Amino acid sequence: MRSFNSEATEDMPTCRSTGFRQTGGIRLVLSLGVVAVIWCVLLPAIARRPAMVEHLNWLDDRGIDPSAMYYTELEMMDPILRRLERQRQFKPAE
Amino acid sequence: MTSDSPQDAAARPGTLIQMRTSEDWWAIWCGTLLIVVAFLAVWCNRPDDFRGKIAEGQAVEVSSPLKPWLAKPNKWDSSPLDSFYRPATAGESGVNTVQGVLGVFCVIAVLFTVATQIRGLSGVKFLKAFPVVFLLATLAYVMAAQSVVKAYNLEYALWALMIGLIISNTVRTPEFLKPAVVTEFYIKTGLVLLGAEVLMTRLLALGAPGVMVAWVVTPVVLISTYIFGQKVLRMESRSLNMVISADMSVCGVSAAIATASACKAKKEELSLAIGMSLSFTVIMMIVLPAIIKAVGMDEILGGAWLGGTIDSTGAVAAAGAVLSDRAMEVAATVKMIQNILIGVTAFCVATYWTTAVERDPSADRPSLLEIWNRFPKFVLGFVLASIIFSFVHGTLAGGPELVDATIKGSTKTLRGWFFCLAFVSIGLDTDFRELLPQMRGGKPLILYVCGQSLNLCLTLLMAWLAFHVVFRDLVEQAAP
Repeated sequence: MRSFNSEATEDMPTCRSTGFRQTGGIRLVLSLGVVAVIWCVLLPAIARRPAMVEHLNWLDDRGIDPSAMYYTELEMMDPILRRLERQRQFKPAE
Repeated sequence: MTSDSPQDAAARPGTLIQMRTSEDWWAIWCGTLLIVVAFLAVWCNRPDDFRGKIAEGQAVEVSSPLKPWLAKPNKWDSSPLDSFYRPATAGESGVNTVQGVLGVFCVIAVLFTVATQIRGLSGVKFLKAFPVVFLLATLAYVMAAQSVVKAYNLEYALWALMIGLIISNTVRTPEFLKPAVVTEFYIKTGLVLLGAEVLMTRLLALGAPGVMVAWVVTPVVLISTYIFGQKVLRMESRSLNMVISADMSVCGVSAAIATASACKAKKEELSLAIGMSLSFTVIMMIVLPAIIKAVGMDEILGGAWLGGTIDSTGAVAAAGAVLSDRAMEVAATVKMIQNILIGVTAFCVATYWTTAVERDPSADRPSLLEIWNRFPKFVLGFVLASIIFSFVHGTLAGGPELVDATIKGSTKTLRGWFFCLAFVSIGLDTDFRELLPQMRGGKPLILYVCGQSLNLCLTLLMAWLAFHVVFRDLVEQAAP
């Protein structure tokens, strides 16, 4: 049989945990709501602005992905590397 | 990514047991298997008389048959669904990445379930949790693929981290997810795959001027910043100091990941370093080209300066293009050389950590066996993949075509997914409050700003010397 004290100490964290989960659930929904509004409404609206459309097209035309983490992710590196490798191949013959 | 004590190292099981159970070794096995399969797929798919055509100097197209089966969400403007499917229109070709994303899911799920089971953990529990973690990683990729987000260098690592943090700091990460929250396993496997992209043969792409800018300045700034952090700022964490110094001096997020794993930094330290690096990159990619234009700096010098200072690779290209196509080429090539220095940096940091930092100060010099035991083994896989692919790229007839097809057709995509899964895992495993002590006294910020200031001055000086004084004629001949 559990004592009063032990019941209290065991149940209190459970209540706290349930409370945390409830408020946590609300915070999660709110956070996801903010994310959804930014990505589904705000950013598409910015992407439609003429100045941004022009900037995005300018990047696309040059094969630049500003979010590339490594040079192999950059399409624009292909012609540069091909040219540099050609230069290296033909250098000894010159 | 946490460091262990010399006592832990002494109690470590033998190499053969580690090969069967440790994350480091399994990262090597999984990474190697993926690289071998990727290369064989390209090799078997090479056109008839491949060698003959290469010998005749003909342009040969080689592709990977795995490419349609491995993909990430595509770029989108107004609807997130466009990142998975968009029908072809008159002006644009269609997009369908569903098959590729599912392919990646199947490959990683099967591989890691088997690996987890053989390592003596529960493969079934991993398999039950993995779909949710993968779904979160997919969401991070979709967020990063929005065209405006991409244009400002806000990489998937940031969003993956944010998604994980939102969950862990609101409803807390559910217990059932934890078997698939294997940050280090994802990062280390991703790094072994990254090794295949670290082609040493491209280190001399810009010749002597490139060597001067990238090879000299990068290690000088890295070491000076680290010493400044230790001696002047007295940073509490050596590993945080090292990760910030490396991501600022080498090439941003990818260097931070490699160095953090090599020096066994805490996950919060990696998050902090990446957050700072991405924030400063956004500022620098806008401000630096404006300064270069305002002072009327020569485009090649400006390009070299941008390439040596802006952390992120994509941002360097974008900033260089603002100046001119020529500046963009120089900037991107200098940054590529820095990218390749990741291999050397990770190896040197791992060696320094095992021989100097983790060394017991009261004991004699550590024996070779002790160093071997402490050394992060996945670094060997990373370096070996780099050496083998560099060899194939540099010596085999048609090597560049075969290596490029292997990387672009499969390993690059898988590596990205592994890093994305790792950052989701870091977020799921991090409490916001754990990040606060790292910011105490603003030391990381001061370290970054001071290190970057040194980087800006030294790179400008070295670029001016290399491109304008010492190798001026060479540059005029070689530049496009």
